[in-house]
Amino acid sequence: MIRFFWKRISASALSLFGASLVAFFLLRASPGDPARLFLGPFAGEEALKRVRADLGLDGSPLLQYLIYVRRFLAGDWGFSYSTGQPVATLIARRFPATLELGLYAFLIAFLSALALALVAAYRRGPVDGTARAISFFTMGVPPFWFGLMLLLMFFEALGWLPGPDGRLSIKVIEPPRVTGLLTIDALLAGDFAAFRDAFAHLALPALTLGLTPFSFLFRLLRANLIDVCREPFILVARSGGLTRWGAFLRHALPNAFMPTLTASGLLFGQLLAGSVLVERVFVWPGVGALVTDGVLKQDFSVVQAFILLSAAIYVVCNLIVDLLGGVIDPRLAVSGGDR
Amino acid sequence: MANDKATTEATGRRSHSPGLGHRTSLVIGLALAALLIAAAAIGPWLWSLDPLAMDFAAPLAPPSADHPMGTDANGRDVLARALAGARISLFVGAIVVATGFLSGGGVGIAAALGRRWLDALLMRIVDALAAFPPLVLAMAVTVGFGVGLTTATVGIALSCVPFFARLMRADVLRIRALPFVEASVAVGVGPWRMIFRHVLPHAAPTMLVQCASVFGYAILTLAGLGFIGLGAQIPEPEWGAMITDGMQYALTGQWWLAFYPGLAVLLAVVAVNLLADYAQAALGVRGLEA
Amino acid sequence: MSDRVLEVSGLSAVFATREGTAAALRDVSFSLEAGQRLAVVGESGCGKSTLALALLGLLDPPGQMIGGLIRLNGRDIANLPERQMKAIRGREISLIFQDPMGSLDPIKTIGSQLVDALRRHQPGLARRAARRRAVELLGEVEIADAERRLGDYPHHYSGGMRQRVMIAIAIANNPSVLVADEPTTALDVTVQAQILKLFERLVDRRRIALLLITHNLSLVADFCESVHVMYAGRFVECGSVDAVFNRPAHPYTEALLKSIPDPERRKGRLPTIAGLPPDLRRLPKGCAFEPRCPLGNGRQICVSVAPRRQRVGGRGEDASAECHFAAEKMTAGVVS
Repeated sequence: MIRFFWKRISASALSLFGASLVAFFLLRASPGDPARLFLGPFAGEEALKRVRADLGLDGSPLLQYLIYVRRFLAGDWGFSYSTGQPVATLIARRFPATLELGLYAFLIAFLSALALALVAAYRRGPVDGTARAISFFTMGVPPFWFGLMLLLMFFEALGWLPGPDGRLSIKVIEPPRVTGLLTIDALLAGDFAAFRDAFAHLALPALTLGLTPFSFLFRLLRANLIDVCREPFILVARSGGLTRWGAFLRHALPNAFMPTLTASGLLFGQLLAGSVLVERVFVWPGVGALVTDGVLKQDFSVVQAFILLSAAIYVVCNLIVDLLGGVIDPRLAVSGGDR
Repeated sequence: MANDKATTEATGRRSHSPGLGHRTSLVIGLALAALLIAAAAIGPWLWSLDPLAMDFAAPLAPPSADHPMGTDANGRDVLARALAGARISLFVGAIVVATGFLSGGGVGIAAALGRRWLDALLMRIVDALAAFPPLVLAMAVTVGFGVGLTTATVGIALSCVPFFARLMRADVLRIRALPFVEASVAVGVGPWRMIFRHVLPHAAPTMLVQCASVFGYAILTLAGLGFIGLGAQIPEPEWGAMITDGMQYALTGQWWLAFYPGLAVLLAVVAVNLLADYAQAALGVRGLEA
Repeated sequence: MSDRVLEVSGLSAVFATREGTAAALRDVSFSLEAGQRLAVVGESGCGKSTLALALLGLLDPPGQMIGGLIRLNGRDIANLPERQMKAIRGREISLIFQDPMGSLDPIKTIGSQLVDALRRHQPGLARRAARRRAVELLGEVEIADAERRLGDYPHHYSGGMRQRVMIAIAIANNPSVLVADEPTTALDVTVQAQILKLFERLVDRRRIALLLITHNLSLVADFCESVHVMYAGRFVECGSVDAVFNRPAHPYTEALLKSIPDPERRKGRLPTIAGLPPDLRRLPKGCAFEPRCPLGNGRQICVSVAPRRQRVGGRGEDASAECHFAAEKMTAGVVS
């Protein structure tokens, strides 16, 4: 087991290192003066000279890379010229919004995928057909467009839910900040009006962001459930006195859950990438919107920091999922794609 | 939960042909795909408005006989742009799949059949690429090398390389361990011959299905990049960029600007995925779970 | 008199396929007494596994039971709703499957699976008591160091040990009837012998009625008292093992016995039964075995009339064969 842990962790560290190299060189490949990219089109010669020295742009690429990495690890993620703030501060401030959105999106995706997969794999027949049709739709729909359509329907046409004006209505006061997650903070403060408002604002964006993870989880879980149901021990369980549904829940689901869990590291990538798109639609003040703004305004530091950060988060999440899988099912710790 | 053994015993064989649900997939998938290809190939002949032509007399016109999908802020016909967008998306999808498959697959084969150090090296590089969430790698490429359709295509293709590499490697290792392949190695069949005669034919079904799903992924990601403004640029009629363009007007009543391009993406990706699903059932390979 | 724990009469089952309905079980009847060991033998595809599943009501679509009576301990269970059936499975009648490797839940310990089996039918049983019982059961199936092995997972066990665990689970709640579907086919020959001995001890000690389904005739010869030979979904011959094996009344039985390789013979081809098993979707009007029967020679009656069960005298109770010429064979003397 220790060997397994060690192997996985070192593999992750290695891929993170590789990713940082890739990110660094991809972005350095940008045409034009890197210093100007960081400072924006309006910077003066003095500032440019300072930045050049700072970044070691006169030195070798290797030196530049080392400076870059050392800075990143120290928490210096650059300076956003368009907002006049350090990138780290910006991201830290906006992170809770994205986190809250991601959590709710994940919850919605997970619960609905679980429910639908259970029903589809158990009943089969036309119910399964319908479920598969739903999954094809959710797989093929561009999430940002779907979000827009949701807005058109529930905000524009029906007026049931708030529009793309951020996390809270203008009139509602933000509850005192404890976790940064508005719904939690509102509950902690006992402010139910704020809770309802925050929740209403979360509804459509979370639904939109959860779409891709939902379709992914559903297909995966359904396929694994159907596979496990073919195994002999399910029939054996029924011959011992469990009903069909009983055997399904007690034996098929736990066995199907494992491979689903280990494959779901991809989920976090989907959430990360998705938030970039979804936050733009809903004007959500999160990290994703920060990046798209940065792209529009050509604020290089922001984009660079985001790219590396999302790779780091993605790798860590995958690592955690892998390790968890190995702990829960010891058989996994033995195999692993080796030759 | 049918009793497989009993069924096999009674009927003498396992059922391999795609069931009812999968045949529906085929029919709908083919229909949509035909629509898509027709739109891309002969669309401009059937509907001859120029996607780039601006008509200031009719900006933001709602759908009508003249403009079945309405016009945008500059009076450009949305239907013509949607049709042209089909061309772009299909083209990009094809290039992404081709390059991603060839390079990723090549890396995978090399890693599986080569020496251990080569395997380790190649897979570490693949891991580095795979460390980025899908969209983000493409973003990095476009930001680094300049925005536009070309860099977007390269970026998306690059983000599929790890997928194909790992898939191909796993499949080749699996096939190589099959008894008949081991036997052919023992007889003295050389590595190149083995690849072409044994490995590839057996890997082909899985690869085919996965290529189809990557095609869909490419279209979606291209639209996503276009949406953020990193892919095709206005006035190019790429679907994602059109959605962005339309977004600002969507909530003020001009819904058609964003609706039709998104619908197009949806139909295109669904078509591809349905066909992939049918192929997966017919060929008896693992599905689109990844 | 005899205490009949299981009485089956007229059991029929079909499988719906795209190319037609396959008749998997056709009017099958037999009975079992406490402590009796009955074997059902036949080729693959003759319906043996279907019989096992049908007895426990586990025949799922596309399979379906379409008629017959199954009287277990005096109660007709053929059409019981699932709710009541689940109380019977594992409690009054148990099934042991062929493949021990896949028959245990891989992510649960052996102990928990035994305890589950116990507590399912004895809900009042406390966990502690159930664990003790589980240890006893493992001991009964001759697994050493039972207490410690409760915490093991299935992949820590060999095939033979897993089959012992399956047996332990099957007898945990003292069923009246045990159906064993090819219980030793997937095991090594040496392990096979051990498992069979275990069966013998358990069945005798607990007076369980055993229905042993197998294609291995030599097993049957050593182990069972009576045998039913199955072909194309019907019992074509029934009787005591001694009688049936020494003087088979049905041509199929005879051909089966002949096809067992004889280690004494050094020359000549191995005898086989010509032809293939019939397509259960298109069974002939007459005798199902006729196309392959060495005795038939295309006789009109064999082709057009399905043979009825005929008692065969001098071979114990319930001895019968379904062949137009069974009596002829018997009176003609011993056929070798």
